[in-house]
Amino acid sequence: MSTILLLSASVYFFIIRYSFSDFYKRLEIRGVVTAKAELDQEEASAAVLQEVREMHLEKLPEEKEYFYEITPGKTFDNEAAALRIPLSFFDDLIQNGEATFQSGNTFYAGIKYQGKKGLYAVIVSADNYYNYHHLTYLRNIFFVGIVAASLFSLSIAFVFSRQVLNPVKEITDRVKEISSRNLHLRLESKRVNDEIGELETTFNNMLDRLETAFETQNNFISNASHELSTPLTTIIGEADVTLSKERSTQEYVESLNVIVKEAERLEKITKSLLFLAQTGFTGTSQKYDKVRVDQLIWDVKSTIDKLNPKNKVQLNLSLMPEDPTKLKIRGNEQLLLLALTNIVNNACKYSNNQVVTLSIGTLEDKVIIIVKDSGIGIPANELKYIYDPFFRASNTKEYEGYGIGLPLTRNIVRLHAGEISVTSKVNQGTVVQLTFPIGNYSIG
Amino acid sequence: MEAVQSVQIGSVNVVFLHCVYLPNSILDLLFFSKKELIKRLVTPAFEDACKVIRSKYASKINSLRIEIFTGFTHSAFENFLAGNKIDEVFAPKGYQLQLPKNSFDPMPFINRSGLPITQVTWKHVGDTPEKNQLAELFLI
Repeated sequence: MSTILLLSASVYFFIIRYSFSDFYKRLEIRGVVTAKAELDQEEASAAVLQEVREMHLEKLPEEKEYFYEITPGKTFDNEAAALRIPLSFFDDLIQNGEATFQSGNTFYAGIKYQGKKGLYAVIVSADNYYNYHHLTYLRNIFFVGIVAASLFSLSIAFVFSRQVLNPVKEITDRVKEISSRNLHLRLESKRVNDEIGELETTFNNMLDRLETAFETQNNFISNASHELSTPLTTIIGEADVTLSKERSTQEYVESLNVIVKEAERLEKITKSLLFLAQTGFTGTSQKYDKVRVDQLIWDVKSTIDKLNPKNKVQLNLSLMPEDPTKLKIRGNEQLLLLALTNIVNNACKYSNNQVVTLSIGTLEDKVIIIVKDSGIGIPANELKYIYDPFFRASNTKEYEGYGIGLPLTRNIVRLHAGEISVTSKVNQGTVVQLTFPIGNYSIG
Repeated sequence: MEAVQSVQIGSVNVVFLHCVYLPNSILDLLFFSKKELIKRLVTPAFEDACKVIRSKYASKINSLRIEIFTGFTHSAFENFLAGNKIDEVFAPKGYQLQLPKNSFDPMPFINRSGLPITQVTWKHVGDTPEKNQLAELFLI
């Protein structure tokens, strides 16, 4: 916009300058020719000059010539008054040999002419008709052009900003609608490849995670109270039934056994819950020290052997690195053992003691532990809930468990700045991959 | 894959070979970059697997890299072998290469090259959960 304005203004300005000086030049030429013809009064040459003038010099509108003889000491007061031009014009003329003056649309050009009869001031005046009209025309063109161009660019800018900003506005409106009560709403992704589409997908993914987290929160209390109340109900029911009439010692022993069993289960749940809560906070009083991962998995193997003598855990050390420093991670051995035992135990449990492979390997700065079983797997749509406390996949009805192990494991892995990823196919097995950063301990 | 390394004594340079046809359009040729192509072909899991193998055979593997061969003729392939100082080829046996667009199978070239070829048995894994994951390497 301003560029157009600047350009137009400068073009206009320079055209004016040029056309003025051009016009003065034309006036001066006329002055010279006329002076030669009129003042020198040589009949022959005057006639020739007159002819040349008629032929080659176009008559300017309102063209007038004036001749004044210059004698030393003469002032041009009267002439100036008669022509209505300032006296400075004459002074200029006498001093510099030429002078120009413009009054409205009439232009004056004067020259000093040394004729045969003396020194003359020749003044030619004319209306700069073309100049005037051309300039007005040019000015109008510029004016209209600028207005049209600005209107055009404004409308283009308007359309473009509408085009670009509309989707953003749509997203804003849509996101505003989403609150904690309707987290299931999603942005409709019409576009696929552009940045706006990416933004929508990102928003939707974030909403997915938010929704999952929300559901976890909501489910936790109901699940926890349910898990805790089931054994309690059993205990109360058992006691009630037993107390309803006189029983034999045998019956009392039986029912007390049931009560003890249920109470133990209750204790187990409470303990693991407590543990979960503890590992959920960082910076509690765990001691961190170097842990050798190969040692760790041997310990896991022996722990599992104690817990479940029928297990078929196989250790795969074929990808162990040559450099033992790469196997050392920083961590709390007890917690890591607990986490890994949990996973391996789950693998044995849900595969009905089929073969479970436990392998380790290292990247440049990470240790990877992989646990693979060929068990019942986890349905794909339930994979995202497996870290929720008390969540149990729909195909685990016939297996005992509370759904606390995996969340606990994840908390422990997180405490060690590690990652856990689970891939699974129903009835084909599950692969759990744990990644820990190596601890940069030197040998020894 | 590990069988390849376990036979070796001393240090080796491992080169993974991938063959592609060069693009036909002049613009694509202008912007053709080996680095970009490899970056597009390699999955993070493959990269991680390479790292695992490298740390496993740290003293045996001198270098491990991926090369692109774009030639048509057999002499071009001979040149490629000489340039990369290849003296032995290991090829997966019974593995159907899943070739992306514009890629081709180098086996005809390799068979004609006269280099010793070791066929590595490739256990065909079905639709397992670890398919194309890093874990696949551990469970071969």
